[in-house]
Amino acid sequence: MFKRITLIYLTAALIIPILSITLVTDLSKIRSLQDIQKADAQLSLVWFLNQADREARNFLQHASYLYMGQKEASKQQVMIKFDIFWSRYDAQLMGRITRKLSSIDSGVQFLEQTRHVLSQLDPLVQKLTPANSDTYNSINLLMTEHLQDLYALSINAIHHRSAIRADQHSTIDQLYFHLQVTLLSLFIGGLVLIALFLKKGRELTSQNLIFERRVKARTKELSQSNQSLLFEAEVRKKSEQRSQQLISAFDQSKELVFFLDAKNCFIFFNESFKQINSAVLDSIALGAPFEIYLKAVMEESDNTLTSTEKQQWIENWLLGLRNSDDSHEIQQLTGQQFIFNMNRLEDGSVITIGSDISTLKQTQQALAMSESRFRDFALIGADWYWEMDAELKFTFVAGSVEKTSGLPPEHYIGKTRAQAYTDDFRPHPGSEQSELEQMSNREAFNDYQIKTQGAGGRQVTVSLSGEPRYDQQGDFSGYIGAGRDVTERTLVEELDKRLIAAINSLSLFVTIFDDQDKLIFFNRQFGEAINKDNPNIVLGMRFEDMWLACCEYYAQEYGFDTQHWYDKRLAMHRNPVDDFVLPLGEHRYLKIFEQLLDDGGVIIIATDISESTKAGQEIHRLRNYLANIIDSMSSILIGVDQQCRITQWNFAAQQETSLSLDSAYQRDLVEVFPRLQAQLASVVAAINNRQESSHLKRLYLKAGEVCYEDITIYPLITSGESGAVIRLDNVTEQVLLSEMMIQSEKMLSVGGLAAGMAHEINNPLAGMMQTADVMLNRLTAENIPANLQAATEVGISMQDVQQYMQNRGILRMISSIIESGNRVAVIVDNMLNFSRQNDAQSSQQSLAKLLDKALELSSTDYNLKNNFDFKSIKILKHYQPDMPDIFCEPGKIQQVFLNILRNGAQAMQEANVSSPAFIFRIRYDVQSDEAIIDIEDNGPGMEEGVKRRIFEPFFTTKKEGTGTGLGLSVSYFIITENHAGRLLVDSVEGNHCKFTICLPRMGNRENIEKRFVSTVH
Amino acid sequence: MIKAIILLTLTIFSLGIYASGLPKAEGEVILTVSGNITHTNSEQTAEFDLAMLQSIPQSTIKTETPWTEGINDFTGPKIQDLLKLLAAEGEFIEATALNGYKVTIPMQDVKQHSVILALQHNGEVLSVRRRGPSWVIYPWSDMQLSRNHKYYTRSIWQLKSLNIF
Repeated sequence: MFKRITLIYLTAALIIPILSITLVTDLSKIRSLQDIQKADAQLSLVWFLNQADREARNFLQHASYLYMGQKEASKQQVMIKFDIFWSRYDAQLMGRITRKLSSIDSGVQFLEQTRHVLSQLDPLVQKLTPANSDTYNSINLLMTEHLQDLYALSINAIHHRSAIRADQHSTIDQLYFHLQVTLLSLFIGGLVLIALFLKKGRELTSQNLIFERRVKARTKELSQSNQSLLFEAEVRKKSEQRSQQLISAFDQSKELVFFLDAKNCFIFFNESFKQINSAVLDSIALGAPFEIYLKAVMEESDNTLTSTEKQQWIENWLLGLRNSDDSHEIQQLTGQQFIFNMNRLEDGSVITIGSDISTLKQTQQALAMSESRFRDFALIGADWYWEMDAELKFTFVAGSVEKTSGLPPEHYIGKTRAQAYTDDFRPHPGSEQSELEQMSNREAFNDYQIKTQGAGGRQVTVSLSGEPRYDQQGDFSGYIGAGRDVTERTLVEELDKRLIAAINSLSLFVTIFDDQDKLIFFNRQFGEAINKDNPNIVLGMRFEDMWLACCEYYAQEYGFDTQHWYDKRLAMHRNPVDDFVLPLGEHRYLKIFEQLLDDGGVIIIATDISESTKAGQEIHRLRNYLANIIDSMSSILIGVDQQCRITQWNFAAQQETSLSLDSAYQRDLVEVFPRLQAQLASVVAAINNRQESSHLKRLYLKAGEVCYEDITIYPLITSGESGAVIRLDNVTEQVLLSEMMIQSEKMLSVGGLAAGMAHEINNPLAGMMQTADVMLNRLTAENIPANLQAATEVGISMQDVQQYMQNRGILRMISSIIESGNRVAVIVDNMLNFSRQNDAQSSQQSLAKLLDKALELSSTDYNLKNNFDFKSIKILKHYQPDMPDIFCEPGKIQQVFLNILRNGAQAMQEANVSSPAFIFRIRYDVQSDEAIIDIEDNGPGMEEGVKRRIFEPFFTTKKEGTGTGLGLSVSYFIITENHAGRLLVDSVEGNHCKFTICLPRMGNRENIEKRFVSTVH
Repeated sequence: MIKAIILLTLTIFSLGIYASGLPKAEGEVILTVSGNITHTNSEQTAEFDLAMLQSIPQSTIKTETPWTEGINDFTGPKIQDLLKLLAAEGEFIEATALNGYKVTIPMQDVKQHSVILALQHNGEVLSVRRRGPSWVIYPWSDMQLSRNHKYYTRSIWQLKSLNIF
């Protein structure tokens, strides 16, 4: 086998290097061929020859052109082409091409030839002129030969390259074949090796199995032999041990043990025997006859015995030995009384064991003496005393048995217990049976309780104790015993049991410690919980130890912080405090209650209050959560009870009234919140009728400011108690905003309408005005020929016509038409201002200058002047010094100022204000980037209704004909629409009126952008 | 030191001349540059005679080439300097030889490798027979990586014209 493997290894070792060398050779060959190809790719000989051919032909072509006298061919060009041709073969510039050329057939020869040709061509090219046939022919001849050689060389070069490629391909094929062979060899070799290994492995396994079996069999045999030897040795050892143990047991025994052989000679005696016969030790050697010993004993005995009695004693022994199964009571030399049991075995040897009965004898005597004493003694601890004979009949009864059973002592004498019972005094079923059973077994019994029905139907519990009596021969002679009435004690004990059962049924932990602080009781609940895994708690342990055991349990069960609470609880022990709560762990709480007892003990009651504590915490958390929600509301929330007294009062209510919940609590609603007086009836209705009610946008005054609020009253019923919740929401801003929106919308719609109407009116008005003008012209102008001609035709003069018109007031009427028309035109013009279209140009303006100019214009206002002396008005100016210029339309802004000034002046004039004054304020608000102009007068002001409508078109408070009702509304549009600003009015009736104009610094962006776009396009 | 200062002054002076306007070629035009150039001396092209090219600072490259034996000296202006002179802008240079051979040289090559337009070989002015009048030479001996076929094809000889684009 091993030879075969060696052969395979050797073959493999031979094949693998051969294959490796072949592969390496192939690879290096491929490498060298690749190098050649790579070099060829970089500097291709074929490419070189191709270029050379091209350049040679190029030269020849140009030489032929020159020869043929073609215009485009110059001598210089021919020279350049020749030089290029030449450069191909320049010896200095050939480089590696020279080596490549020399590697192919006729390469070197070609190179030499070509250089020779070039040197021949050089003078010919210099000489070449058009039509110089000789020279050209020479050139052509040389070139033709050269090209032929070049062609042949090119063919060779191509063949050379092909040969290299073919060589490479064949090498690759070889390499591929060699690789295949190598891999196949390796594969087959591997397979053969695996097969051999497997085969060898299997052989080894089978051999191994045979060996194992043999070893096992041999081991088993050895082990069996070893075991039998061991067993034998063990048996012998045990036998020796037993003998030794027996001897040692006999030696240690107080009994006297000796063995005699069939000839009654000593073969063994124990230490006790030796000790008791120390006086006759010489006669009890092993092998010595027993009779000699007996005689020696008698010789040593005192002289109280006669020789006959001595002889009798010896004969008694010998007789006993002969009978061998008797027991003999014999007094020994020491005076001790022994009883010997002798047993003769089959082989004739005798085993004798003697027991010391001296004490028993003494006891029997003492017992007889004590019996009489016992009767007296028993009567002291019992109510009565009794005796029975062997038939269990009463022989003697003494004591107060009659008091308990109602039967005199003599009643019992001569009767068994069952016979002694009467109808008035009988036991409950079951009680008697057990007693008789114990008696029939001759067993003693103690505190055996029998429930009986005593005299007068009274439930009586009797406790009996008794023990059997034996006579001197050990025969049963009856019972003696005592009885007691334990009715009261039983009742107390039963009560105790019930109490303990009740305590055990509680889900509380109850423990009781005595005055020494020792555990005397723990209830079942406590025991089951704490002693669940380990019975650590035992009665009698001290409080400290018990508490430590508890702590360990809690720490393990709930993660209780033992270190902290151990001392704390100990401090509380015997110093009871109320509400001592022990947190056992997460969400686990134990409430502990201690009560000192009169006898110095202490009772501890622990209650698991985890659930109630958790619920309490949840309620607390919920209450806080709700309180936070209520407090976070911006609305005022007030809770009242049935008597309208405050029960709830949120943060908003506190802020409103500056009263805390504590201060407001249980106070009367109206007292702490007087403005709810009007809603008191609704609150009462909500409480009594469970009726919800709302009061929207209720007006009230707060620090002199008009405010609005919504009041909502909800009925509230909680746990049968009635009440109400009042919610107050401040809606001032919403109300003002909504009014402002209504105003704005109204203004927009009316403004749009007015502008539309103005356009419609303008056209007929223009026609009407023009017609009126023409009418006046035709009636009054005397220098118009058409007028004169028409007058002449009807036979009247123009003067007559004029006179007639004057007299009839027609001219005045026409003037009136024109004047009214002009008024209408002014109105229409104003109405057109509502139009958002705006052609006017905006520019940077100083508002102070504009206002001053408006003031100046106002003082020259004709109407105003007529009615009011503007100069008498005091003007106060507060202009911000560094006021920036504002982008606005100056004319329109001035118009606004004029309107406001005119209105103010007229109002002051109408109200006859004693010292009229205007206050002008101009300032700039950086934050909002706007200018703010206040124009305030100390006129009569205006009432709320007027103030609200003041910017409406055609709304006026002036006398009919004095105002169009458009001034302020036009102003409003100029500011809000044209300038994207705001116009506000603030007035207190009878005090002042203030207009505030806010203008963005950069004007109306929309207008600016529109304008910008229009200018760009 | 003085020689160096004089050379520098001359260089600056000559560059200054060209910067102000390219002079006409007086001798035989051996190189025409066209395409994306700013300075010209003919119709949209710049024509150079040998003297003009030699007046540009000359560099010498000592290198091996596949077409010569051993280490050779090649001298001529750096192409980058020539293009700077003409304020040429572009990514590629299309070079054409007298025999019509064309090759495109990336501008990156010129900037990275200090490629020269060789006018002299081992101290002799290159004639057409010696692959002149100018020959694009890379410093192969200094740049191991560029010894490959790609760079050899770009080394055009008997150069006639350059087109920048």
